[in-house]
Amino acid sequence: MTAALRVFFASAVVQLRTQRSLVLVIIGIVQPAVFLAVTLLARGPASQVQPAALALGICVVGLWGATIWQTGFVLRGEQSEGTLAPVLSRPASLGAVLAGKAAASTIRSALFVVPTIVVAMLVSREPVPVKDPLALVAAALAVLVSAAVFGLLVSCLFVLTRAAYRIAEAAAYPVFILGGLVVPPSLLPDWLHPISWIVSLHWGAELLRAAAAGTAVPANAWPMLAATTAAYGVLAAWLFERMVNRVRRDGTLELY
Amino acid sequence: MVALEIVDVSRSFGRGDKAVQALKNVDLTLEPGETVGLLGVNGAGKTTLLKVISTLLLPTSGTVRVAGVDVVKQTREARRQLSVVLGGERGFYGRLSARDNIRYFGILSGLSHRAAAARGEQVLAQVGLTEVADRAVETYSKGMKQRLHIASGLLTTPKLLMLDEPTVGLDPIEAEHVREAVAQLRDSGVTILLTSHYMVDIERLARRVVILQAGQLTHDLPLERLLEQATSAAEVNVSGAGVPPLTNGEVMDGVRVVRSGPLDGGWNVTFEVRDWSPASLRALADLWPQAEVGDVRVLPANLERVFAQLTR
Repeated sequence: MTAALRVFFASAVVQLRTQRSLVLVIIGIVQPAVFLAVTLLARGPASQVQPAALALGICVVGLWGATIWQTGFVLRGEQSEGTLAPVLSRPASLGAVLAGKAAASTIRSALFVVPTIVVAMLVSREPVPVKDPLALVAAALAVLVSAAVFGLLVSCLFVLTRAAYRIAEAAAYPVFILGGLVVPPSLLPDWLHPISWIVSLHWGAELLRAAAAGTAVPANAWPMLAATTAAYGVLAAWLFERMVNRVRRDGTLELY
Repeated sequence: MVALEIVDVSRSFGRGDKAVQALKNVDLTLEPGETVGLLGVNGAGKTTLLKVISTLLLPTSGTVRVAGVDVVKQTREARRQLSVVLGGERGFYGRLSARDNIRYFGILSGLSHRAAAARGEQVLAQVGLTEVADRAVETYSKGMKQRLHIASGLLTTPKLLMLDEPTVGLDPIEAEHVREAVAQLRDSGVTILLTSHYMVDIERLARRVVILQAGQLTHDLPLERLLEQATSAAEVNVSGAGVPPLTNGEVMDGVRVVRSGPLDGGWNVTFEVRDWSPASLRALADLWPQAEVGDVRVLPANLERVFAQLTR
């Protein structure tokens, strides 16, 4: 195993074992369950909303929220625990450390959100037909990767600003709206469409919906999901360099 | 190749009128195998200097090379050459055990899983934490955390080891364990830069002492030469009963009163003596024929007093 992979996996394990669960329980279980229950109860008998689309939408909303609040705060967590300086003083790649922690955090979020929705749908006796399970799994994995990369980007951003919590609070719902999870993207004003295209969640949701309904995958969904995720990665790497240089320049490694 | 080369390093915090210059044009070189004590009062810039060397802070200007590697231009390579122990209550994953923390930091230091586990056991034993290694670090006392920091710094054998007040918060026995561990490393040829407020650490471990004052390096001397910098050879404390002796400034050539006052119904005077000899005591006795001397204590100059005198 290469040194970078070793660091990646060791960091992932440390993240899984040290992450506080309370926030995740609220964001990963309570919030999606309540969201789903309210939506199911509010749905009229003539509603056209498919239960599968509803379940997937709430899964993605839950996963994205958890990504912002869990993965996004990975670096802040290191800073508050005072471990950022000892980690940074080691020769290991901080990128591998952060990637391992982001991956672990995202997977852990998914392990809370997805079973919550499945159980909620079973309890409410809503049928969730999935026409193309293989495509659904592929799309779900792609959404997870994209969420982890977005989490890395947010994590670097949160270390650079004191307004991290405000940004996290403010960022969630605009992204859900632009991603087409709250209202169909077609209902958004035309000028907002280009903005929603740069939200990888938008393309991930398209893929998940198509897989569940067994409809044709929009031709640009996979390339756009890959492109937006790659763009987040590039931006995260750039921001990461800036973050490291800035905390070393300003002497804020141990501040929180 | 020198182990550490610091050339004209300055570091300031903040900007404009509120800028605080923590380091001012510091030059320092450590030869391989040297153990150097870095002294300075609180806020003198010791920890800032260690952080600049260990890549945690960027210098505002100047160059730092560890084993020939520039810490700003070749940061990751420089980190392979050094190890730093900053100590304190934080710096570990509180929910993990000491063993898991040490193994993780071993992997971050470039060790394989197996090597990190094996070396981890060695360093935990070295600092006396084996018995409690499975306890979560958040349950550790301050001293135990300090020992764990030391263990973490000993995971690899670096070209340069930096220790920032390694014995702070430790009881005398724990502190002695740490000194022994550091002495072993010193004797094995590791270059060590050590800061401490406890002069016993410096006297026991260092061969050379540098002093930082307000960010500037003011003294750089072998330990024995530093002791020669003392303005007095000894401090003499005399107490007695009866008529207090005359105690104003320099009572005779080379003997100066530094404190005087009543004590337990009698009197007490402390002198600084530049060149102490039995003749000095006789001369003092001749000077104060009325004084009934009850007790005389002579405290020879030591590093603590020299440091206090030099940084006063």
